[in-house]
Amino acid sequence: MQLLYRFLIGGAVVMLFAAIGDVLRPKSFAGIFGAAPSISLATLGLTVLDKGPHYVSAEAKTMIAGAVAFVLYAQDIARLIGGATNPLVRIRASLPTGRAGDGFGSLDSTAFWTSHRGCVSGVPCDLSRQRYLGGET
Amino acid sequence: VFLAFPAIFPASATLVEKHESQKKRHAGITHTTRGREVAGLDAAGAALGAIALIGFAWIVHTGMGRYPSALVLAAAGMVWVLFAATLWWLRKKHVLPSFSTGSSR
Repeated sequence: MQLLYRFLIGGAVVMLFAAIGDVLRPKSFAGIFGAAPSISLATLGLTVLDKGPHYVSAEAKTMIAGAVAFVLYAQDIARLIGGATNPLVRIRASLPTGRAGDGFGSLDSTAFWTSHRGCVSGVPCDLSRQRYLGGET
Repeated sequence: VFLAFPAIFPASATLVEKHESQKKRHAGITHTTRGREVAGLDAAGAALGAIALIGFAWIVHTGMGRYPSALVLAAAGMVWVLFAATLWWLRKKHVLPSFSTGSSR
């Protein structure tokens, strides 16, 4: 039964933030809502009731690592398809160029979200490369 | 770790790119990078939101067990909104480096 609640509440929260992001302008501001704490808000509330606040605190600690991975992942996407530059991209741009630099970009996704090719953050990254860079890897 | 899973961003970036490209096609422009650029802006915005997500997780981590759970979740949500909006504003004002693809849209 709790799984059903989780499914419904999670879906509703994700839809809410997606709708907010869709209507807002400019797009760079609307993009913020692509990283809204949708899953966490839906899940943590139910987990508090089920397993208590200390369990949730431990979950949130590992969520910090996931959020860091999300930052690097979004940076990768922005760099690959939009050419956006901001501090993290610049730091990486200052690293060895060419294949080595590219490998470091891949490492971001790899270290936290498993593989750059085929898992979690790797999928959209790879799709964007094939789609926009003509299969350049 | 998967509490910070990018659930919304991949779908929204794909949709944004598709919509912008369709708009240009309807206007008779077949070869355009507009959709790609807007998706890039969306991704850069998501990166700012993800930085704020670290703040959200930290508030929940430190506050849970010390303060009422509902209060902690509400405070963490507020911190996320304010932190993300502040980062975006700082970049808009060029305090943080801006986009290379042009002005913010």
